[in-house]
Amino acid sequence: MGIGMLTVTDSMAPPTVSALRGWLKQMTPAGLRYTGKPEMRQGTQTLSNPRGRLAQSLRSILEVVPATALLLDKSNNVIWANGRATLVLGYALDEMTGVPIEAFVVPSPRDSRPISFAGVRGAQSSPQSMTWAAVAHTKSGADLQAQVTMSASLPIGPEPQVVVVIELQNGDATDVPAPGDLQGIPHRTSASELGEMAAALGHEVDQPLTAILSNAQAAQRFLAQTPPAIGDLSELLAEVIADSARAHAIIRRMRQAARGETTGTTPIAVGSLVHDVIRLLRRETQACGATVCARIEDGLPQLRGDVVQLQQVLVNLLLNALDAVHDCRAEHRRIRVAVRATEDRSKVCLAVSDQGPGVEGDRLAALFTPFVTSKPQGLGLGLTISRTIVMAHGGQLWAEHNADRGLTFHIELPVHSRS
Amino acid sequence: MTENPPRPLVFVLDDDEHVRNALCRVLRSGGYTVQDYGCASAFMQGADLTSAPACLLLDLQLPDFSGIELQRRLDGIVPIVFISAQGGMNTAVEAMKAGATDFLTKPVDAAVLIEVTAGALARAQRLFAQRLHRAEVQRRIDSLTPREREVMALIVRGRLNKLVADELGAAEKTVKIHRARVMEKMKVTSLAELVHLLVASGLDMPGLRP
Repeated sequence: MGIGMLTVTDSMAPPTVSALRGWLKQMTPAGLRYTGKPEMRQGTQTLSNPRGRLAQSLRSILEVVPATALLLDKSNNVIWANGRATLVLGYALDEMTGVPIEAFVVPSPRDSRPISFAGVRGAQSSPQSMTWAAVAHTKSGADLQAQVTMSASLPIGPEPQVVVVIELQNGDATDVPAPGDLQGIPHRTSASELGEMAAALGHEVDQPLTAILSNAQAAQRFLAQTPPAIGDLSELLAEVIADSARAHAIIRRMRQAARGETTGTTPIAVGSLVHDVIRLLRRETQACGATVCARIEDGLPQLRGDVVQLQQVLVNLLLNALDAVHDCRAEHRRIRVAVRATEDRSKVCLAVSDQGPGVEGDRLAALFTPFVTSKPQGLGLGLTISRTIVMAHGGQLWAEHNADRGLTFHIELPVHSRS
Repeated sequence: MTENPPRPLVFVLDDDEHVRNALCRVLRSGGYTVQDYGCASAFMQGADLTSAPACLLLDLQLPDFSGIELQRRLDGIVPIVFISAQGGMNTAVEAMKAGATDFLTKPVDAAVLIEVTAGALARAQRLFAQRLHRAEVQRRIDSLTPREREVMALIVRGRLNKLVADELGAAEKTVKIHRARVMEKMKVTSLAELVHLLVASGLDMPGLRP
């Protein structure tokens, strides 16, 4: 599943939303773009056919997905395909509509399971998605190795629909990366998105630069005194060095995001990763009237992985938690982040707990299903992506009910990465 | 009235430890006594805002309060200099309207910081002196009897003793005695001095303002 989306909530201040959205886009592998609020939100209850509107908005969302996507009706005929599908498969949209999906995608000899387009709609109450290795036929007669993911069914529109996403396996410029691939994530950035991100990160850089300037000037002033006051100077200089490294790290991150690079596999201090993300989301936290407190065990073992991607996972979990407690009473607008190592120190466990209303017992697993969301403005892909990233790091991401109220999302990451 | 004034204080409130330390060092290098806090609630609980002239250097984005919210709660007790990482003009305007002494953008030049702090502390000294003065005048007023207070309220409006006596239904001679006691207790030698004392204290006195 090379598609994904992080949810940006509309309760945030507009400049923050746009900055954050721009930032998240940078960080989202083959990010499914959020192009606007689903219309249902704007007219609240006044729309005569909100389901039809949402179906329409599904198409506009799929249109901007940097992946090949088709919609099927209940007889498995193509009813719509996005621009990328017409590009990859070589057919015009009207050449595809009404044609059975089997004309475009057949099972790969590599995958013994039969492709069952009907299977995914078996249990309507619990939407599911399935992925097969497959061969995609293009109009020019070429057969492309692909991975086909079907998600059924978005509970919108007059009739249930199936979304088919075709990911080409290799060699194509329009390819999207296979799950687990940390490198080579395709990248599209407009100048304005870069500007937004630069503003958000620039704000972060101001802090260490302020400290460096003030410390250096204070040192000058202490030394100019007679006799020179040098009592505090070594501590002062240690802070200058630390802040210069801090500024450097932010700028490096900005440069990497601007180039669309991922950071690759580097050592990661989980504690500072968590603190960074909490600080980054401070304004969102404040806007929600919530508090986020972190309990981070001392002496955690270092992880190895892609710090930008893991940051993205944490941003997503925290924004979800803020969303969850948004309408709660003040005493429940509390989010806890706990980080500890397992006893044998082979894994680091992160837990993000909210005191929100939670979900019904059997909905817990569905949280991770693509396109399943409880949020009017969400696309239901944040957790899917987060889990993909965590799994690419050899770890696990799952949710549990809290004993009292709310949910806890657990991440377990191995201390020694696969590489 | 101005016995040895206590040493002025600069409070620094910023959640970034290194920024806070650095700002404190600059201020100490300028000879100021500094107290620093990492969050608004610690400041609200721990800082003594009234026993000495004090000003506050306040980071606009705190983890627990917005700077503007804290400014509203402090209600002008201490002059506030805002320090902001992003030069948000709207916030600056809002803060200045609400009475901020100054608004600095990070990074802050040491010379500017010291100059602005000196300005804020000068204002703090005036506020502090005014508070002391008001407390002193209040003490003197409290030492008056109810009758003396009535007499004072009338004479500061310019009423002659005879009219005061008529109004209060007392003998003019008695009013004269009350009047002398008021002047003595308020530690003034003339009516003009008494009026000036009361106006300068900023206290709300019945009869002082029409």
